[in-house]
Amino acid sequence: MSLYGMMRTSVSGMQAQANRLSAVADNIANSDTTGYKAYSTHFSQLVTPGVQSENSAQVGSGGVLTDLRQSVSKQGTLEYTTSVTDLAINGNGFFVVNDPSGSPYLTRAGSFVPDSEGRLVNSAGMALTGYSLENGPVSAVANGFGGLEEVSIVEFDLIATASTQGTFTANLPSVTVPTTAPLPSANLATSEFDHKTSLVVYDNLGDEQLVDMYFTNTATGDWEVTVYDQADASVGTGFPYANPALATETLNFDITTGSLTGASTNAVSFTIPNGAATTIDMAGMSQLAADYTVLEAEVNGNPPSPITGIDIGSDGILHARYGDGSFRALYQIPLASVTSPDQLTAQTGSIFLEGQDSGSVQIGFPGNGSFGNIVPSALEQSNVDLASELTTMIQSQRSYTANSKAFQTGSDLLDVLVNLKR
Amino acid sequence: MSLTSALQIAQNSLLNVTRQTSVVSRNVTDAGNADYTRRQGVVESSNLGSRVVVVRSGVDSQLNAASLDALSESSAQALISNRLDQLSISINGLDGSTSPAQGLTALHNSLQAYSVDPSNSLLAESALQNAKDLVTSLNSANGSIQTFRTSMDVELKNEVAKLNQLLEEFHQVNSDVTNGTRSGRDVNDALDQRDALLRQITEIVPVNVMTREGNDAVLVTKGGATLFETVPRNVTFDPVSIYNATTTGNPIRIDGVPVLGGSGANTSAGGTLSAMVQLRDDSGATIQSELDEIARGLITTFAETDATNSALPPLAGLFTYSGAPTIPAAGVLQTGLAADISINAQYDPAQGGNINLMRDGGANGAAYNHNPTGAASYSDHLISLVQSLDGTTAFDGQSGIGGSMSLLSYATQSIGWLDGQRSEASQAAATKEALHVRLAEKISNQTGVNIDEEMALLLQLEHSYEASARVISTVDEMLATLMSVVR
Repeated sequence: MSLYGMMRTSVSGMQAQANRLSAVADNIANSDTTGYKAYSTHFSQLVTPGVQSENSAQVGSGGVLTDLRQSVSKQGTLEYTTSVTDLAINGNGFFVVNDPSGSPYLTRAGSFVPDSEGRLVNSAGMALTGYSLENGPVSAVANGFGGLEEVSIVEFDLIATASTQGTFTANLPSVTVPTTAPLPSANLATSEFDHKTSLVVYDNLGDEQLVDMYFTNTATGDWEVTVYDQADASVGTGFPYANPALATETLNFDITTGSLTGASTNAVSFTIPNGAATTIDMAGMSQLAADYTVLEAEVNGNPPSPITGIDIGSDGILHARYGDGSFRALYQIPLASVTSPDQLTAQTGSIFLEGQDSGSVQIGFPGNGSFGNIVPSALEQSNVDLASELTTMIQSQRSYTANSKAFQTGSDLLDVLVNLKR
Repeated sequence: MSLTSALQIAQNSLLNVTRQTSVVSRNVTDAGNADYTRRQGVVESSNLGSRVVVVRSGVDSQLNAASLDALSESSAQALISNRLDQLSISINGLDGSTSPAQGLTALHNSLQAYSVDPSNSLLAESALQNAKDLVTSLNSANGSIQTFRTSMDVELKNEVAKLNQLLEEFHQVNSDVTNGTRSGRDVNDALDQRDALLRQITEIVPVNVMTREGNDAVLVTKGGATLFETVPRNVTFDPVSIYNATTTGNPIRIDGVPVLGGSGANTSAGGTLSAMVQLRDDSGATIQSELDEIARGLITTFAETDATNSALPPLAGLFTYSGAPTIPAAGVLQTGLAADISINAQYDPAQGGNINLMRDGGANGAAYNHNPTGAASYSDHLISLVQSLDGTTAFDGQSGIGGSMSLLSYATQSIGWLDGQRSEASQAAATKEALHVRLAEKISNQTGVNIDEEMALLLQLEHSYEASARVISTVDEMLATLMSVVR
């Protein structure tokens, strides 16, 4: 071929190295950008057919084609932070975020902070989306962004939950002599009881109410359980209460094993004044020759209190933490993934769009399949390695110089050719 | 792996060492704090790299529960031992100098002297004076007991107020612990505070501790009453402002359930509340009934008897009371008699009486006068009085000591009973204190700070900090080398 062809080839070589250097510059510039994925340049040969004859072969001077790839699927280093709303993903998933106009994008940049409207936005201004858990557990819409809404934590201001169930486990002493005095259920000033425990329950408005539970031995193995509203109690002694008992049940113990007989009641149900129907499970009660010992006493529900903070678990469930220490699940943050993450199209703001070759977006929950886990209080650093970038830069520089030498040689030879004619 | 991640790991390691150092520094600072539990900065591996988690030294829960029980028993026993000593001094004086037994002995001796020389009016006055002293001693001992019971009520009231206050503080700290635990904050300081409060509560009332989800503590008294569950329960008490022998103290109620007093000098009570109830209702009442029995014995012994053989009933003589002239029923405790007993005015010249009645009898009429002629040296009546002082009387078993014995030996045994109780209580106090101290020591061995250990740890940390810093500087040099290649 000709000297011109050779010079064009070296120009294409220089262009390719310039492309590679641009990618390196981009990587170095973004080496501290959260959720940034490094570019790498790959070259392929461009062939110009030469002339092949019996006696001689002529080289067809070709060129270099550049292909730019982003290593989206390569995990970046996690760096721990002190903010609970900083999220990182350990695995293949992406957060689904909305840009200010509301279009969904994928991102790995999880440095979220609440904005004035309570939305969680990252440093690029993208708002985190999730499924609301207000109406109970949800399942992800596998192949689209349907059902996702921007996570916002201001609207759930004061929430109270009425008590509905509880557990009470205690040992009632087997050596008790059955009482001959009026039972607590008679609600007389002379009523006597063997043991008493009170529990905090919450009514519909989340007000704390105390209920008194009396345990009285009526016959061998039989214990009467009587529940009263403590607000009705007489000052000091309790009895008589202003209103009749909320519930009265009889627990029947097997005197050989000390546990409840199969036929016995094993729960007490009552309706809390101005509250919900509540069942206290007593299946674990025992009657052994030991003192009255309470082993477990729990009732659900929580008083009205404002959100004092939020908490995100590795399963992606966003809990609001209330002033009284109770928790409530508000959102489930899903993760998205595509078949070939490296083929996603990058956009300004460390976000990605579904590309032609990436495959379509699938949504799922953290911990399932290949979505990976959410790591709270951590950020994913860029996956750029400075040392390898610098090495690449040196390599490129050398290649570029070599290409320019080839070009210069072509140019010198043309000079010689031109000077043949004087 | 790359140079950048090497740098990041080294940086993370520096951060870890810094946190561990701050834990060591905190341990050293609080080495002298009894409520402080040693923290440990444990390096835990996580997804990428490691992080430091602060762990509080755990205590064996059995040991902890045993220590709390020992504390409440020790505080109850110490209180009982201390208050019984006070009570004994205020009733009997130092070495029993003002005790009824001492007064009775004096009366016995002076009566004996008087019976030998009945015409001697000085001896008569001396015997009367001794009788007066005995009455004063009984009255004031009774007063001391009632003052003691009143002061117990005041102490109980303060203790109940303190308990309510502690429970309120416990509520605050418990909320800090549960909120912190649920949100993954470091709650070790709040846990230390909660344990310290728990110990203070245990001194007042023994508790069982249950821990629910989120490190939420539930306190139930040993008697089964709920003390704290989400919110503190009310502890109520109505003190009685003035006690007399027949007053019954009001119960202390925890969530409506009365607190029972313990029993015995080596008390079964745990916590100061139960001990105070025992002192007020049990110990106080027993000593009261002993004094009442001495008073009844005196009235009965010195009762005037029929001198005419016409089966007239014995009537109150030198010692009398509000129910006179009939004497109290034999062998039955009459509560409040020690406060009620007085010298019959008819015997006392200071109150316009006749001192010779002591020699002759007859305050209840001529039928009871054994010396109708008024012979100055008549001694039979006096001799029979001295004899009946030595004779046996039946005493009510409701008091600490019952059965048949002479009045004098009953009074002496009463002192002996109280002294016995005191010595038993003080011995038990020493034993229980020793157990409590031993257990506290054992816990301290598990949770306390050992400065030597901390210093050794600090050296290790210094070395690993140096090593990490070395890694950073080396990576830095490597990168610098790379940079210098780029021209």
